[in-house]
Amino acid sequence: MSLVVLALPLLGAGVVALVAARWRSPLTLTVLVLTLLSGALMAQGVGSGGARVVTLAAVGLPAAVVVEDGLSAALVLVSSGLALATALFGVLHRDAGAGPPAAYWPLSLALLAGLHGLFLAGDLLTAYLWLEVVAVAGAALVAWRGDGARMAAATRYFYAELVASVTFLAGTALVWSATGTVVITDLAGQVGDSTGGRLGLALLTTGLLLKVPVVPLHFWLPAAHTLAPSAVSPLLSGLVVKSAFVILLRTWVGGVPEVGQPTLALLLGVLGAVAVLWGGLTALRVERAKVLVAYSTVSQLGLLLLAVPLAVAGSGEAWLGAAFHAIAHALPKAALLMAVALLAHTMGGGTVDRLTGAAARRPVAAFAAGLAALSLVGLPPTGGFVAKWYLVVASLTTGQWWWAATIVAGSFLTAAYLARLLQRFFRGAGRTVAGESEPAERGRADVVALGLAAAGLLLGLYPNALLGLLDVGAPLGVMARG
Amino acid sequence: MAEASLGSLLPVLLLLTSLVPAAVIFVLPEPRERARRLVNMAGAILKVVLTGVLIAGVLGGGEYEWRRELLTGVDLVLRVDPIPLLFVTLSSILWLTTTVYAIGYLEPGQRRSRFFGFFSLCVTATIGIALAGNLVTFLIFYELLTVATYPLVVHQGDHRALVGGRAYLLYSVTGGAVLLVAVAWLHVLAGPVEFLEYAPLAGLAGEHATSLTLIFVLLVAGLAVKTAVVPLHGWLPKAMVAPAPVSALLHAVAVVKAGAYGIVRVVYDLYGLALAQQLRLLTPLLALAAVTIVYGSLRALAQDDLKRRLAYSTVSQLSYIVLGVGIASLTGVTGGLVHLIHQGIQKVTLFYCAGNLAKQLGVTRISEMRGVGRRMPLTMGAFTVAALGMIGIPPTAGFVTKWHLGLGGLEAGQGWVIWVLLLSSVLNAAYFLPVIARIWFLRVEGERPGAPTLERDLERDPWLVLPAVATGLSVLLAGLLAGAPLSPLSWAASIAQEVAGS
Repeated sequence: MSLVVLALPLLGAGVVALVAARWRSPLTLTVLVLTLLSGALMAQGVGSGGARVVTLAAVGLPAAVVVEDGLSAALVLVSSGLALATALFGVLHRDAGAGPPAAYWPLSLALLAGLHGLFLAGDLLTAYLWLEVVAVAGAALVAWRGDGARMAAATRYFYAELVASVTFLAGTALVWSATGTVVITDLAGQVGDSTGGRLGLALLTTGLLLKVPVVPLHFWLPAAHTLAPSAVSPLLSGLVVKSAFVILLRTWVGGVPEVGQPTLALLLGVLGAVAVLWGGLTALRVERAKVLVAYSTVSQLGLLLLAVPLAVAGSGEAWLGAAFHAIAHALPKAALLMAVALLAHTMGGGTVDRLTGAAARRPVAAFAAGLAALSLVGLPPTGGFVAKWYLVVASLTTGQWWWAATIVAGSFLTAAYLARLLQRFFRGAGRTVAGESEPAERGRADVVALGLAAAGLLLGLYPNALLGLLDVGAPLGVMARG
Repeated sequence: MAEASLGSLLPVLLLLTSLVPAAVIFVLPEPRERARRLVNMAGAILKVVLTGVLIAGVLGGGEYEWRRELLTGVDLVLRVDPIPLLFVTLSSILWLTTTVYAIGYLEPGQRRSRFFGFFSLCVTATIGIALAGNLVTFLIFYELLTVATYPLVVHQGDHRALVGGRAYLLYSVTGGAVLLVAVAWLHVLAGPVEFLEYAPLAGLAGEHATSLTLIFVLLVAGLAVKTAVVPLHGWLPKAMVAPAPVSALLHAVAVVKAGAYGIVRVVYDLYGLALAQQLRLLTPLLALAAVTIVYGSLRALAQDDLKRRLAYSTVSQLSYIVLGVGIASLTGVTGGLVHLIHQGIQKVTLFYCAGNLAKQLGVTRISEMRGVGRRMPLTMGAFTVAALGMIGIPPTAGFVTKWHLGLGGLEAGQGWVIWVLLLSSVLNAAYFLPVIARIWFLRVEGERPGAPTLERDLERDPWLVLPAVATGLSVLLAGLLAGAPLSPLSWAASIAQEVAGS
């Protein structure tokens, strides 16, 4: 099934690019539905049949390795679903009167193919290939039909991706020459032996940190994610940022936990903690709602990195927590971005101040934003809570309580900056007097946002299916042991 | 078999009787007032009926438990035990009266759809807190309560409401975070521990005494925020900007009660009195409660705004419950538990009356209350009874509480508690008696003696008057009939028998 979830969007992108403009959106939606179904079949297969590694031989190159495990299956499933929801949102909501440009449809399919490739990649060279696909498609989605500012943001985004890719490729080459392999699970016990191997690992890690991105390498993210059209931002902030992290997680937890540990792992954790706090503090200050959400992404991405020192210390809960967070963050973040776009559309501007009183003007979108916020803060019983619960338990069981403190502080900051946004929704909303001249607005796009936010809640109410799936083939299985 | 499935279904049904109305009300368009009223009342009445069924069942020895695995090793548990049932009974009855009151209180155009949606969600969270069979379940509903209450606190949507709401959120989220850390820590230390299962913690007391003490401090700190224990009480007076039915909910039915109830469960049902005494946790708790009781009363004295005075009075009164928890004697436990009920019915009455005053006469300050007794005799009668209850004058409910707390203090060899109670009662009298005197014995300025003052219109709306009169009456009955079976007192006494009887 793994090849189907790759081939469908990839071929779909090609076909959609060739057909007439009016057929593009229905065809894209069809391809996305089929991809989602294949993703579900794949998840079911992995869940019942266990993890599987497929090696594809190619002439003159190291074999490409495809990993079908719980992590990749879950991510493929969620990214297909989220891409479908975002495409629906693009059909139903029009920024400033115009729908997504014709190029949006093939590009978003290509992006999804790249993401699936990364989720499934089991070797560094394949990963590099898909990283490039994601970078090109992502930057093009930001840039397409953009004005000067958007063009500049897209350019900066693309250059950052380019530098990161080259760094990653250089690192991969060094690791290859030092160990003779690029298959991530074969790196164990080999990379640390030589200077070249260690340097290669450092380089490819740096490339990935720039791609995720992790503070202080996040400079390109806020502008790109903020200026992107409202049917692109959910893909970027929900999914694209997770793709490089998956490679990072596989490399550091699945591949080379013994290298330079625990000092280097600790360094990654510290970077994550800085990101959590820095992103949160910045989100408290910014003026535009979408920028606030972008810094929220910077902050939440830091949480993912905390899993590295915890997993290196042997905690299986850390892997589960990070993987769950990668998914539990994607859905409400996309919902929040959609809701903010809808509210900004209704209120005639996207600054935090401008959204004052939005709860009365567009109640469904405001409710979706509130529901998404609960999950992002990590309040029970949402998916965010489950992720943070596992990370906190991992910190306490390994005795590294300072990560638990970071997580709690991060949640507190998240609550603070989201409350800063959400409390404005209620201002002046107690009476309908103002609302009578401006009746409440709602559309089908609001329901898409609400559905994604509700999915974040459902993840917390019924986490076991996803947890069980994520545990399949995990390097530090929790459920399998217990 | 059918019996067993019904037993596990009832706790869930109890949640659904407010969760389903919440969902329906959110979807109902604003103008559908009658449909909304119907859903609200049906849910509230059904909840009271179900509570009655549960009481009858528990008296007959039935067991009601629902559980589902949430995460590996972490269960979601709803269980009906005697202490939860006490809280459920209070919440479901006061939810009914407060729903009636809110229907009368909110005018068209006040976004009643949103209000009643979150209102029902609030009660769902409270029932969940009451029935929680372990700390994780408790935490889930505790956080839900914070979230569901916030839109109610800021319902007016003006600057003051938002400032009050911000304070509420800041305190509550901090408290929730502290609680989460404590819960996770305990989970890592002791694995899944359920309420009413003391052995796991008692077994750890030798080796991990320090950890257990620290966890206790964190747990109580997290809960004390909602209980408004000094110095964590700052949000409560600020949150009184909310509409009167919300204040009633905050002060009597849900929020502050949830905190106090949490402390009760942590001490009685998680650590157990024996372990708490062994770790010397109760004396600091007692001291904290005593300070709060006196401080709250002192601050209440200085307030002219009626709702603010009532808010500080809540700060003080809530800690009577904590005081009861700290007194490790049979009578002391009884006094603390019974006050969970008594404080609820007294304070809810006071807020109904304050709301009626503000709504019908525009009176919000105590200095404006001259002679209002003759204009709104029913409302002010209820207010007077509840205020006398707060002071602790027999035969009201408040007297029963103070009597038992004082006696319990003596029993436990903590005679100084009596002095705290006396001082507090004097202060209570000092801030309530002048109000009562002003209500009944002073004339409205510029009024001629003997002029007709009774304006029937002021008390014509049964939705507003009936709840206040009913709860006011219950304050009297709870005191007069304290010895009867199924009175709050005899109920509390039988629970105390289990908690501290050995």
